[in-house]
Amino acid sequence: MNKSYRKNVFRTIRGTMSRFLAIFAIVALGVGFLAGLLSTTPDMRYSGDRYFDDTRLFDIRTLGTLALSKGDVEAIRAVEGVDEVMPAYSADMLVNTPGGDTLVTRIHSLPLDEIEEQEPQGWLNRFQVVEGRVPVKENECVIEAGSQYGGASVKIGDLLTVSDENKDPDATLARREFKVVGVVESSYYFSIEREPASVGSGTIGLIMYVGGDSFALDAYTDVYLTVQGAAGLNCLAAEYEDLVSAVADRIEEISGARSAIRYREVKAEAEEKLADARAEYEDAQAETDEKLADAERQLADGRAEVESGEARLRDAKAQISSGEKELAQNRETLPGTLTDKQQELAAGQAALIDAKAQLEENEALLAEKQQQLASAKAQLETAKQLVSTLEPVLAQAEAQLPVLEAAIPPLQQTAQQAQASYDAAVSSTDHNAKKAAYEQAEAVLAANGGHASYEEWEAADPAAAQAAKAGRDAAKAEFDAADAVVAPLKTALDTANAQLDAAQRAYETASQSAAAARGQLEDAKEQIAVGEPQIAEGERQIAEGQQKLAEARRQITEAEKQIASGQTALSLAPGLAQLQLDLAQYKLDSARAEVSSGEAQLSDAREQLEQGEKEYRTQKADAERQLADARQQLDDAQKQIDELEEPEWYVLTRDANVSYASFKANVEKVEAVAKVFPIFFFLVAALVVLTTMTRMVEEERLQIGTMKALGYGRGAIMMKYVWYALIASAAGSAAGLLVGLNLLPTVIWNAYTMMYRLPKLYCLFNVPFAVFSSGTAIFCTLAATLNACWTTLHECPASLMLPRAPKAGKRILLERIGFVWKRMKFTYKVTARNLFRYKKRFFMTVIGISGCTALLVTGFGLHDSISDIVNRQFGKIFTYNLSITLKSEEDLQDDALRKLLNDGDEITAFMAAHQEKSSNTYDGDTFNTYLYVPQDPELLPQFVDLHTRRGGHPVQLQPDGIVITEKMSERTGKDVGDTIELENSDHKTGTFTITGVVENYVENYVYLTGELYEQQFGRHPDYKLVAAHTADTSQQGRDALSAKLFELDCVSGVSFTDDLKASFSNMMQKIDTIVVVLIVCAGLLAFVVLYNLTNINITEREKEIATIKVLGFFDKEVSAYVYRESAVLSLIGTLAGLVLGVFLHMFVIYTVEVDAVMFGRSIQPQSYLFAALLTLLFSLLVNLVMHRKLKKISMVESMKAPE
Amino acid sequence: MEEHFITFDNVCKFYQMGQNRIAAADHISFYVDKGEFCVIVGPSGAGKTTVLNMLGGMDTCDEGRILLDGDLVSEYSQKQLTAYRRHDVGFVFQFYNLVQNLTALENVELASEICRDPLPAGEMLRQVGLAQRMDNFPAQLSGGEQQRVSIARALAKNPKLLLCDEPTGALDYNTGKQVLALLQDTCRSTGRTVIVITHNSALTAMADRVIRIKSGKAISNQVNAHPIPVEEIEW
Repeated sequence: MNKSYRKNVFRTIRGTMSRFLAIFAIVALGVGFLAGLLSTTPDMRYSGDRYFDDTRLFDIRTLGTLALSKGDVEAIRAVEGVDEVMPAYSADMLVNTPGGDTLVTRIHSLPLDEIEEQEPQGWLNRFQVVEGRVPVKENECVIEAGSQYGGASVKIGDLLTVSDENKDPDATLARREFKVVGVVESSYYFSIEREPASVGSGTIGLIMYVGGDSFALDAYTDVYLTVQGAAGLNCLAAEYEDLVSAVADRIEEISGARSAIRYREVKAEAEEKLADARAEYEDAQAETDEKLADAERQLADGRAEVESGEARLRDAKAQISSGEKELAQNRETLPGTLTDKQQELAAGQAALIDAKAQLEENEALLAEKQQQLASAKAQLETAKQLVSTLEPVLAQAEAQLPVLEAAIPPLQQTAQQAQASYDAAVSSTDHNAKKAAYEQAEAVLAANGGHASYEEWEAADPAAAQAAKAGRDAAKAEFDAADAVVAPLKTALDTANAQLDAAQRAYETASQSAAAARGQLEDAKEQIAVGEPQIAEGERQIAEGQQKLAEARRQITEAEKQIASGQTALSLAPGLAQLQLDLAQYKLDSARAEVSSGEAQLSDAREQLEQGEKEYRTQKADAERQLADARQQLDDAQKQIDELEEPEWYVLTRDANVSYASFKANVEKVEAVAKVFPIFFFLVAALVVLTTMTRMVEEERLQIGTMKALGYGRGAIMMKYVWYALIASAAGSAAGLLVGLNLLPTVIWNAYTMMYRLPKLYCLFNVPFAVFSSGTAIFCTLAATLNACWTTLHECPASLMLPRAPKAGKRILLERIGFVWKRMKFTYKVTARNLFRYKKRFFMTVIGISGCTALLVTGFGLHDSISDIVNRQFGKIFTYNLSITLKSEEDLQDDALRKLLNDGDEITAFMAAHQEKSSNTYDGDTFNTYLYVPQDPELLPQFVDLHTRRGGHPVQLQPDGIVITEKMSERTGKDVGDTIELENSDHKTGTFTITGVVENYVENYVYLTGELYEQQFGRHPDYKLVAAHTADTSQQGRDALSAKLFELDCVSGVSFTDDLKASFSNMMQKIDTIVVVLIVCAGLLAFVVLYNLTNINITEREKEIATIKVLGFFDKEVSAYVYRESAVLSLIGTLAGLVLGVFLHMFVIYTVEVDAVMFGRSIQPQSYLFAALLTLLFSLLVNLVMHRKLKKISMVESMKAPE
Repeated sequence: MEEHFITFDNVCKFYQMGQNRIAAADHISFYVDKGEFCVIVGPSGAGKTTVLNMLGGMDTCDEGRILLDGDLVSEYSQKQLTAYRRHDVGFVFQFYNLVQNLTALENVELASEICRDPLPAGEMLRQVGLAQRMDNFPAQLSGGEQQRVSIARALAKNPKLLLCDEPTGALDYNTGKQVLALLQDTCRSTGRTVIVITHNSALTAMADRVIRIKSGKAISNQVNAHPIPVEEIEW
């Protein structure tokens, strides 16, 4: 390429800048769009995978129906291919925030020890801390970021409290309060789609991470693990899935054995616990019984007390009344009483005196008796002494007695001698006579003359007295003298006599005394024998008497006292009586007051009693209920134990993670949309570029001729255009790749970041896509250029030099319809003829425009098809708005559930149904469908509206046939009247006749009656799905109902179609973003194509336009002259595009669709309208731009020679 | 100033060519009277086309005044200029500039449709001797015939002035003569002012007035008292 050649090329480019730019832009659009959209999903996959790898998202999550023990964890760790293992706890709980909200919260455990490590091991599903820090203490937690997870209401520093409303939270958690120390973003929850929860409203409102020790569970709820080598693979690719599912299978293999072990463990533990609980229950029951009995007794006491109180009160009243009466009487009888009393007193005194006399008498008597007794005693004593003295004496005496007897005879002789001496003496002396004389004298003296005494006698008759005296003295003296003779004799006699006597007496005495002593002794002895009991008796009598006396004395004292007091009383009596009366009155009054207060107290007491009884009743009922509950719980526990089945492990891959699955599904959706659409887009672009280049070459025929004439070879001439095309398309491709590969993935990614919390997008330079798209673009352009050049160069230079023979004007078909043609305005005729004259231009324009319109229609149509399905599925087809999954069919009979279902407050209607997955193979592909068996087919139309899509004719469920969904009919090729084989989940096969095909979008269903089901599968359908209509469809209403339902044990799942709709429409919004991207791109393409075509049109007709300008056409008329044509072309193109769009849309839908979903087949009228309007709008816009170009066309052009 | 049908009064037109300002018309002054057959002659690059453009309302002058029938054309706005072209000027191009997609009649109608009181299109074609070719497309016509259609189109507008730019330039000698004859006849028979711009001085003989232009200036403005019919001219 020499210099002037190069110049020529660049001049050409500069000269035809708008064309060059058009080609550039179209290529850029086509390439950018194609490469961009194609690489969007690889970029998304790569970025997603990188994120998952960076955050160590689990590859496999293992759950057990009875949780997983440490042994299980070790067993899993030992499975081949398992890399890191993180055993973890999680629980759904209601948690109170400081703001007063109660959020359904999922609490996850964290391996706190590992987190702080530089290279944590066994920490999967990691998060990035957005704010704050990771928890280090047990009472700290971090929460998941994102407004859907209560992010708005919980802040760092808040204290979150596990609510008391939870069922037995302490069994799950070791602590109840957690301080928020950080906000994190984890790859486990990167979707804004809300997770289903097993408590409360049924969706998670907050996600918390706490230390593992904060859990009180003894077995792990989840075991997360990574697979060796999985991080190296793209997780959204098949290799990854193969690798992971191999490991998952190996885990499944060990699950059977592990489950059996776990089953035994759990059962043993549960039984032990139950036994404990039962014992506890029995204790509680006994205690309760006792307490109740106590209470009853207390009540009875109380009742008795009240009754006695009442009786007392009655008595008191009676007393009062009688007291009153008495008082009145007393007042009347007071004086009389007093006299009586005095008399009484006097009588008492008299009695007292008597008593005293008596007492004295008695005392004397007693003293006497005592004396007697004493003497008796003394006698007795004496007797006793006597006896004791007498006995030896007696013995001596009796011994002496013979001695004494013996002494007597000598003495008798002596005495006779002495007597004889004496007698002799007496007779000698006259002694007797003297003595008698003397005694007489003495007697006279002693008579005292009759006087009282000698002195008186002496005084009265001294002579006689003295004579008497002297007589006596004389007598005496005689006597004395006689005596003195006699006396010694006498004395001797006496002495002898005396001695004899003495001896005799001594003997006699001795014998007497011995006899007497013997008698005495015997007497004494007798006396003693008699006396002793007498004495005892006497003593007793005395004691008695003394006692009596004492008594009497006491009585007397008493009586004295009484009398004294009586006297005192009597003296005080009148005042006292009054006082007493007053007192009585007072007492009476106070008694009355007491009675009234007693009454009050009594009524109080009665009330208390009643209350007590009431309380007793309620407490009794309470206690009974609690006991019944406890019993129920025990029974339940027993039942649970009985029902305890061998646990099952669920080995889940990332597909079971809500966020991951949703992301994966979305990537697939983007992929599906990106697959077909840009190719068509690209085709339109290629076509436009192709024609543009062709026409450029044709326009330059003169120059080509000149060059040829100048001697340039074909190749050299061709090279100019090749260069031109190459530069345009290569630059366009480069620009397209640069923008497209970055912009489109970013736009779509950003659309998804509204839904997912995803990190940076890595826009990869996807070489295959880049090479494919740009290569194709460049190839198309070059091929078109070469082809055009080839044709042109075949002409000889001379003919090239000449202006190309103007194409002959032709009559068009329309002219033959005279009445139309003649009525047409002249300028329209020109347009009409022009349109048909340049067929190539016509078709190119129409195809270009129709392509853009078709793309727009498809874009809008995709939106319609996708966005519509949920509303149609959950509004027009599934008309119910709540579906409840029960644990078993028997739960339908659950009282609480029945009440909720039947009371009509929240649930206005319901229907039970059986739903079961059925996998069938058609043409080698597995096609999944659900068997749907309504319990009562009559009710079905209220909940599921079976109708055909076309025409909306209702379809009745026949007892002998099945109704299938449209997609299924499409896939199996079976229609009404055909028979079809279906397998149920037990792999039993039944043959059915199709009686209807109905509209359906989400999943596939086979509707059949229970009879038919039983007949074909030989099994009773399990009606545990409940479809219902609810009264309150607001969010609060749904939450409340959901919470109520979850309280029931029999409910295992609750889902509201509104929630489904919301979540789906959320997803749809993202699809809409892609659709917007598509529409914008299609619009851009439409604009560029229209611009290019109009540009070509104007350039080609520059001279003509200049001419009509010279002829005096106003600018508007000139524009109209040109635009009328392009307007008609646009209209035709648009119309064609609308038709083409239907097919393109259909094609895209069929390509994009998956088995489980049927997209809407129809495009909304407004989508056609929008597509058409947009195309026309772009057309108008192009024309506006072109108007300036038209204005700029110089009339001088008209002077130029035709090329 | 005398009342002339067309007056160019010190008209200048400059073109900016890079750094230089070139005067395509450098104080050109001339006049033409009504009903005259005027030939403006000059060598290539003398400024003929510039004059034509300005006179035909396709371009404006930078200085001076242009008057047509008392109207100051040089002061016209673009819109007025278009109206001026539409109603007052008939244009005959060197390359006929027929719309290929229209028949001869329709090409004439293209002009007559837009003006105030057009002459009947068919009549015009008959006048130019193409009564039989009315429904033919330009491609089916010879060059002379096409130029005659072009003339008919110009005349059909019933213009005050017929401007012809090298009307014979693309025609062979005889056909050129015929076309010139037609123009002369038209001038004579309708009393319409006709201005022919040509580089061929031989044509001056047939003109009532000859204006010579050279280097952007009108170097002469002569009245030819005895114009001769075109048939008699040889070149």
